[in-house]
Amino acid sequence: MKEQLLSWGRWPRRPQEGLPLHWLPRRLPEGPLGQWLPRGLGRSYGDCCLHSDGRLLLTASMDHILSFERQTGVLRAEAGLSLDALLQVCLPSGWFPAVTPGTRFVTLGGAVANDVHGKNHHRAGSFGHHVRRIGLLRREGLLVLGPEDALFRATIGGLGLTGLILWVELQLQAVKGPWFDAEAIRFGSLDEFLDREEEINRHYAYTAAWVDGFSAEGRGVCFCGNHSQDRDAAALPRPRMGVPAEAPDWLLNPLGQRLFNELYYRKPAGRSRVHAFSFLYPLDALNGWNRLYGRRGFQQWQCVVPRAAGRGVLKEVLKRTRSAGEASYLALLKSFGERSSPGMLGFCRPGWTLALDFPMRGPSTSRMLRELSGIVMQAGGALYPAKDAQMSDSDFRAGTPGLQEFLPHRETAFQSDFWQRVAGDERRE
Amino acid sequence: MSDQREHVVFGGTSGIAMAWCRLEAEKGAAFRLVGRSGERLEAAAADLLARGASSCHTHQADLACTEEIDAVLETLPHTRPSVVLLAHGLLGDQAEIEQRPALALELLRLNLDCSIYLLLRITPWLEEKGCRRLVVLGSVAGDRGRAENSVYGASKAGLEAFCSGLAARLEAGGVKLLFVKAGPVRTAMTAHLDLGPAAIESKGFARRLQRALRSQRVFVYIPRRWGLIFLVLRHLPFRVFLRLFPARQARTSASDG
Ligand SMILES: Cc1cc2nc3c(=O)[nH]c(=O)nc-3n(C[C@H](O)[C@H](O)[C@H](O)COP(=O)(O)OP(=O)(O)OC[C@H]3O[C@@H](n4cnc5c(N)ncnc54)[C@H](O)[C@@H]3O)c2cc1C
Ligand SMILES: NC(=O)c1ccc[n+]([C@@H]2O[C@H](COP(=O)([O-])OP(=O)(O)OC[C@H]3O[C@@H](n4cnc5c(N)ncnc54)[C@H](OP(=O)(O)O)[C@@H]3O)[C@@H](O)[C@H]2O)c1
Repeated sequence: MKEQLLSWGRWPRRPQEGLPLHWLPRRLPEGPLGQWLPRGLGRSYGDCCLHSDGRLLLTASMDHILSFERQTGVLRAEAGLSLDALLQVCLPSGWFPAVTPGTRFVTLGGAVANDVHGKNHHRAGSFGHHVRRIGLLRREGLLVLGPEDALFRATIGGLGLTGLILWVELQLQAVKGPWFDAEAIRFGSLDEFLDREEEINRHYAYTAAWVDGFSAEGRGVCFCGNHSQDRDAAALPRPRMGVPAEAPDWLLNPLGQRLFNELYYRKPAGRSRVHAFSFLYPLDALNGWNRLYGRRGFQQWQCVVPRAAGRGVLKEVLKRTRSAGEASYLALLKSFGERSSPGMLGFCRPGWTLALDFPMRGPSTSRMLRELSGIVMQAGGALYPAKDAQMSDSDFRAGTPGLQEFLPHRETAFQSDFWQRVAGDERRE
Repeated sequence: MSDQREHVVFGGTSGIAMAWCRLEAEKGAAFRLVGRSGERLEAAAADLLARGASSCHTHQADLACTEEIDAVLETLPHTRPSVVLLAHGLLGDQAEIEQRPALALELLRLNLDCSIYLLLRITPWLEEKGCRRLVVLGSVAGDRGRAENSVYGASKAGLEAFCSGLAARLEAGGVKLLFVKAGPVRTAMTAHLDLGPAAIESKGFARRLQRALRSQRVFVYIPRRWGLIFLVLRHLPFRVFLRLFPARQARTSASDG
């Protein structure tokens, strides 16, 4: 089994086969229905990037830049280009992705297919809002699509199931340089943060809060920032440290976690000027940090809940994880702005979003995640496919109002473990 | 403007060449890419331009064909080369070759015959125009033949022997050669193989190649550790070598990859 083809959570651990693509193919490779699934850099935590009964189309070497207009910030590149490589090209000339997730090791194709969001969702919406055009390869051939096309809207957040995205044309945002003016604001309770969040969001384009999962009040730190007007350029730092092997399980015992959270909370608050990479991608500094969770892997879980019900739901979810003794290292909280995802299956919609990660301890972890999901679904929320390996088909349906509109746009040559679980093609109604 | 020296890359769409060109493009280098697929050359050129190359011309030629080599060289005489890189090559499928030995000739024609032809043809041009470095990509597979890639290994061993002589000749004309004995690199050529943890990415290879270009050495291993490993492997008694690299049962039907 190819180690590198696990998903980022390294759970479930199912063997995967892949076919590497180096150049844009003219047509999809042959095969029976549901044979293929596109795959980027496998930064999805769960199983939307896995296809155990078929083969993965590995796109990460399909990474040529097709054009880059330095006057307008319009860049068109093959879908396997990573944001890391893109930044290397566009940052020196003053351009930055309009939306970026918490790691720069994702491909453009993966960013489109999950319609990813960043800390600036309240200002910029999601990744798909900044895609001008895509080239989509289906059985019938290459289609060039824009926001006016239904198939475009099916492909944004379409989980790789509408065809192979060959290239993506993006509108980048202009920046002065690589720096951020950042501020860390400590809060003693969840309520304190939720009360202040709107005001913080008015000042800062990028915000996200870390919540200490062990604290009953829900204390934490809000990390906020704006692109700095200072243009002082510096060499891009590269990730240096690495996690060579899977860590032993004892590292993840509750005492270790508690200590980590205590130290995190005590980190000095205040303002500073930091590099975009350390502000946006703190985890990228540690190569292969996902191995810290050991052989059994871990599960991410991310939900969105409508603002009206939000407060109660967030508290209940955090309380539930605490009482299960499964509090999370990284509980991240942020609000989504008014712009919903342009994609039919898109996850982003107005409300609060909370992301948690849990070491995989077996059935007890899965049981708890089901309970958390129950709380969220009851409040009219939804779960994020990019970070899910176990949501039920009914939860997926309830959280995805655009599902029926999406179904006719499926590329039947493609299938994924995620989709088999939550939809199943047979069940087209 | 046209004063700038240009990198001339034969096999301009090769994964290794591309990774190196990208690093050079960031420094504003100019390129001429020679390869057999017009479409791929265009994609490679667009990519280099987007990354900062000051210019990039492409030339389509089948480098296993002497007439086409002649034709493409016709278009180059006024070019002032900076680095000239030979990166084209075929790995071949040993099992398939053993079933159809004519395939061996095809491989040798590109990797050895026509590469020597090309090198002979460009020698006077290099001596006339001067160049920063002539780089030829060889392989550790040429150091000692193994059952699983003996034809490929032979082509690279032959190329190395030729380049050893060529280096002496060029040195007299003021041109320096760099013959790279490459270890396994993850590119399109090796994508279907299980290379194991010793293989490196093309980007890492390219950085090491840049470093080698700053040194004065003529024969280098990239990564360097292969130098030591093959020093040992070359001198192992045959029986011991055979234990380390036994011949595999001939495969009946090769996978399509
Ligand atoms: C440390 C870390 C932080 C993260 N932070 C965030 C965050 O802040 N916000 C957020 O939204 N997400 C976040 N993520 C999740 C990540 O951004 C998404 O999972 C993203 O989709 C991963 O991209 P990838 O290239 O690795 O794609 P993969 O994980 O390989 O694939 C993801 C999906 O895209 C499809 N796909 C990939 N390439 C193509 C293509 N060429 N054509 C069609 N379909 C394709 C696949 O089929 C699959 O369904 C984070 C992940 C990590 C590891
Ligand atoms: N990768 C390794 O592990 C490794 C190890 C040791 C040595 N090497 C050597 O390094 C060099 C580059 O290899 P790579 O890894 O970069 O492989 P690659 O990406 O497959 O590149 C091989 C190149 O050769 C070109 N080519 C093949 N036949 C040709 C022909 N008839 N005319 C013109 N061009 C032709 C290919 O063009 P198309 O794109 O049109 O096919 C491609 O650009 C080769 O000489 C190889 O032997 C590689």
